[in-house]
Amino acid sequence: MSPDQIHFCAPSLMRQPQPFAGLSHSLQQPLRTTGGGLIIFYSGVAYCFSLRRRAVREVLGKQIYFTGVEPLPEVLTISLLVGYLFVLLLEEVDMVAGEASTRLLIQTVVMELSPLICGMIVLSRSGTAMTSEIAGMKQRGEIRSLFLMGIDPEGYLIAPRLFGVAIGTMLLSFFFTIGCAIGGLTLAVLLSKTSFERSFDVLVGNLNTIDLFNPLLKGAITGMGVAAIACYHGLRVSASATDIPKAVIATITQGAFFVLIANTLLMAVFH
Amino acid sequence: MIEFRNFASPGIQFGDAVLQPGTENLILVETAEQSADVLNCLTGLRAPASGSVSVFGRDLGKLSRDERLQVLAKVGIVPQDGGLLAGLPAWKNIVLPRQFQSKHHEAGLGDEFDEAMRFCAAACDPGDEWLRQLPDYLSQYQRRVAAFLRLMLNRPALCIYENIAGNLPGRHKETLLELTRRFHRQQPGRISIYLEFDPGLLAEHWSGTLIRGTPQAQPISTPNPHADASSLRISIAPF
Repeated sequence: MSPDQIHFCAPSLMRQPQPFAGLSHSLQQPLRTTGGGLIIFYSGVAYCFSLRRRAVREVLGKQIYFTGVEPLPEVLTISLLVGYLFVLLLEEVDMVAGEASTRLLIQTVVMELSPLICGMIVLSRSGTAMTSEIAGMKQRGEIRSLFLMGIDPEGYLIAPRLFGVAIGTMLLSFFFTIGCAIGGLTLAVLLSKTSFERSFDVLVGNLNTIDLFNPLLKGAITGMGVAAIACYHGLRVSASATDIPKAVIATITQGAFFVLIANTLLMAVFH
Repeated sequence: MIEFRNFASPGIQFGDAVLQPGTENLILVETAEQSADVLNCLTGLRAPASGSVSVFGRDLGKLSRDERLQVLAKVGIVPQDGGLLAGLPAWKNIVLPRQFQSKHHEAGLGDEFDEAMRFCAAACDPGDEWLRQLPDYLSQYQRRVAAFLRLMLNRPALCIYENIAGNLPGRHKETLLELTRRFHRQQPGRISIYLEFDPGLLAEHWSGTLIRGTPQAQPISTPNPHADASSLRISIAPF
């Protein structure tokens, strides 16, 4: 067996240096995921030229569809409800009304909440699916088969998934933002009895170019990170069938952690 | 030309051998694991236990990853399980390597596909329903036929068939072997290698080169030669 096979089949026999070996297990795991996820991210970006190949573009298209188009009905429903609930809550606690609530809606829901919620939706749908798919491929020897066909596993598996999920999450964030704005705006008009035109003017007046790009950029970064973590955990499984559910759980927990941290950091950067 | 120099893969020793262009060669090993190991050594996925093997004058194990992939793109391999991707229907699996190598739509690919289907008409079920099915719904024989069609579209100078006749009923076995031999004769200089671990399958009436491995004293077992990521050299190993 090659060193890589030894690593994947029996980690205890690893001859490679083990960073973080002196740290406790609870610290090692997130650090390993960060390191592994960053390497997968780098691989995906380094092999982005493979996207010019027809077979890879097909995988990219499928990934964009499954991540950014298929869940649109659910995401739009959630976004309308979130926008609606947000304005309703503001009115309920009698904090603000009319224009002020529209402004708050933009600041919090549109700018901050939409990439966060979309990141979680993508993680729970595409992230878990991707981990189990790649883990299954590895256990069935399909990654070896790809190599035997002269196909880059990184170029065919990793790059289109990273970019597909990034574009899909951007799409979802965009439509979530629109849905929130429409839902919130409608309720704001209904509750505060102001005219729709007036509220719409306030909405547009409070949005600048950065506000429009903000959720898209955050969505792309969140999506790429989620895809990198999902691929990393999918590739780490060994031959045991019980490794797949473990990998999916690790993707969910560490992916959720990543989505929260990334969005907090990005919020700090943008403000 | 394929050259083995004092070659040994885990558990089995071959010594020296040269496979000349245009020849059909049978490599006999003892187990399925050994056959997978020899295939891994031939394709540079793992280093031989000792000695070396060169394919078209190049030791694949010593090439860079990209150079090795370029060589492998010109080698046709039919693994014993077909090596199909479970997420793609049979016909997509067949055209995948060609589609991956091309940046644009290949107008001639459809014609070549039809030609390959006509070539394999004796081996294929009537109709093309099986081509639309996922590999998990195909029989072992159909998976190997699909892998053979995939190999044909690549027009390789080197064909490697891993235990292609194993576990098949007599009629299917003969049909597949006949197809591989006819395909071998289509291109002068083509090298065909049959990797087998059941001596009764091919060795009895074999007229080509026969390389028989001799067992080593302490064979190293490989628990699951397919459950690997050796090919995926994304070095996440330290993590």
